[in-house]
Amino acid sequence: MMSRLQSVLTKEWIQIRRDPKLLGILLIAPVLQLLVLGSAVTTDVREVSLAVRDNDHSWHSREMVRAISSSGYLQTTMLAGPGACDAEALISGRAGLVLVIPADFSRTLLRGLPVGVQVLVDGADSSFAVQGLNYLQKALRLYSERLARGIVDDAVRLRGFSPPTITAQSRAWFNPALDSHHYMVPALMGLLLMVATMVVTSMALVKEREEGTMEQVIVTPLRPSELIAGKLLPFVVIGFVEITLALLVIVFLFDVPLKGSLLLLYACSGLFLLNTLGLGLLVSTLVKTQQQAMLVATFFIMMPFVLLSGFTFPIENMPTPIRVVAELIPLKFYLRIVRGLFLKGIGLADLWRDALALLAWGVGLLGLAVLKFRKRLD
Amino acid sequence: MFLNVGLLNNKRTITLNRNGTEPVIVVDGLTKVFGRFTAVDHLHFSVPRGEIFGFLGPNGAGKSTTIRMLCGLLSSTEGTATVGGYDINRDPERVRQNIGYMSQKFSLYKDLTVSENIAFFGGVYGLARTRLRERAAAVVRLAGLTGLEKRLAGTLSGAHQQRLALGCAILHEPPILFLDEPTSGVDPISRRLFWDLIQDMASRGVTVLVTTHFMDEAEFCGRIGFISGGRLVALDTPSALKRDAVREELYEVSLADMQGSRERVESVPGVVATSYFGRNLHVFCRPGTFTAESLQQALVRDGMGVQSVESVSVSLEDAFIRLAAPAGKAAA
Repeated sequence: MMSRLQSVLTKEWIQIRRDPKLLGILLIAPVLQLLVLGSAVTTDVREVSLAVRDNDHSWHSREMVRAISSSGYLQTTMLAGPGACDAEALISGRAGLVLVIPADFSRTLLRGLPVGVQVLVDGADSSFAVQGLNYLQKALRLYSERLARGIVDDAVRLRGFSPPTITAQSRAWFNPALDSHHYMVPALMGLLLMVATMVVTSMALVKEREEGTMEQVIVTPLRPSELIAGKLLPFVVIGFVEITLALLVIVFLFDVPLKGSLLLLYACSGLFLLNTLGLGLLVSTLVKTQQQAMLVATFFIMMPFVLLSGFTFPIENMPTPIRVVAELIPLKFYLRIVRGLFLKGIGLADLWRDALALLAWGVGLLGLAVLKFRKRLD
Repeated sequence: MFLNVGLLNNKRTITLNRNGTEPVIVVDGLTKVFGRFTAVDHLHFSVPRGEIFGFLGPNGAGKSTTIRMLCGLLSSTEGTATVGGYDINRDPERVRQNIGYMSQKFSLYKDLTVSENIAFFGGVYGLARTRLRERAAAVVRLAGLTGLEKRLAGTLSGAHQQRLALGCAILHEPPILFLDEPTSGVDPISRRLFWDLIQDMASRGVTVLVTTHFMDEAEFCGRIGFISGGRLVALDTPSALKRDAVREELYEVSLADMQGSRERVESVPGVVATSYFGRNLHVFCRPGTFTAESLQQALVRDGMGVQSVESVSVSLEDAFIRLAAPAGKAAA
């Protein structure tokens, strides 16, 4: 009966409106988090500090260090004093990398022989170290190419001789500057949408049980489906408002353009909302208190979802059994859709599989939750 | 015509219903087991139309569990009941159409106003708009909440909350009302007002099943079912209960020194049980054992400083305390 559902909706709406904290959690917190976390979540490593121990003190060694520091990615400081200070710089964190130039650097170089320099890397922060090492190697390669080119130029000028070379001229599609924001910020939107809607939904029904109001509602002829629909519909609306606010932040503040269709983004977000609301509802049928709801939602759903959905770690690198689980996580499908829509501008032809998976999961989860919901206290 | 069972007194196991009208609530072997704990143990009773049926018993006796089963809040482990002619297990939704329920704890929405609560419950009971408006006005007037319509329910006084809860429970004019300790935490005047409402409704044919711990409220009930340890141990009118529930003779004893004397009094042969009554002691004695004088002599012989011994009639509270005593002692 329509009027019963309407009564629940009206009631829910009044309650949400009257709870400024809830509205804050639902609308303002995600946007603020997007702003703060959006600038923070980046896999790009900039400004790696490099400490240089120059044992050669020659024009060549100084020239190489100058070339490295002018690459823009490495901040160079010179080390002086006894050699023990090298490790000290790494331990204290003053330097992420230490470059040790041997005393015979320029002599070996001038003899035309290959010369090695030692690089100490702070492996405690592995992704940082690898990135820093990449930058350093690139800078060294560029410098040695420059040296080689000098010789080759001489050779060409004097003897008319030119060795064949092959260089890769790379160009990154979809994200020319390889700015990780373009990849992370839209995904962060998915994450925040999930956290806000799922947690709040999981607590909504439990709250009624805890406060005893459920008891009063159960003795009325209100149907479970009407109660659940009345509880969830306001969150659907809030979810879409949340998406809209997040979109504005992403497009206008982070300058990440939406290349795909806005309509598709909204439609797929709607499918994803089925999942988050279904999960929230399912949690609420399994627990007795709001605290338990919070814990279950955080530990058993959010943590694995965030870590396994490919939000930060590529699913392709996970061990097979975990990968099987990761491949099934609804958030994964949504993140793939969102990233595809933002970065590649994919269309329905490319995302329908993921959308279908979201739909199937959503209907399944909601259905299960509705089945599990009983109009009883025991 | 229907039969009901008074378990306490064999002479009265079968009594005719006073009104002779059709029973509205029929409880037949209703049982609820939580894990290894039997909360409600094969209850049998029925309540005719328009009766105020009081449920008495100590905390944890199974009163609320019984009401919750009758309202369809809990499923029964065994046995069944019909409420308004509908089986509580087979037809819980039909049952819900016909009942109003007020739980022990205030269970309306504290963050909604008086009128918003009324509108919500009216809506979920499926009242049409015009009827809802009528009923809302009637309920506000009845509950004495005029002028408080815009107040949040959570900010109302206990008495107002309780009347609002009753109002919301009777919005759809149910013929049957379940009230679970409706007056706990409410001042005496408000309690009396509340009972005026209940009695008024009962006089118009509403059947009321109510639990209470107040003996003055129990006196308002047509009949009282006394429940202890999940079992119905007595069922009768308040006056019959006072007359028959306690078969011992009751004396009110005033002692010079109450300290530790209760155990000494209880050790006197012929004394079955004692309970404190104000500054005095109520002493239940095996019938025909003592007179007031002989009891006084017996106590004095035992070295107690007795000020007075007086034969008194059993109050509902005395009956309550005797009935609630552990089974071994109660069977005098």
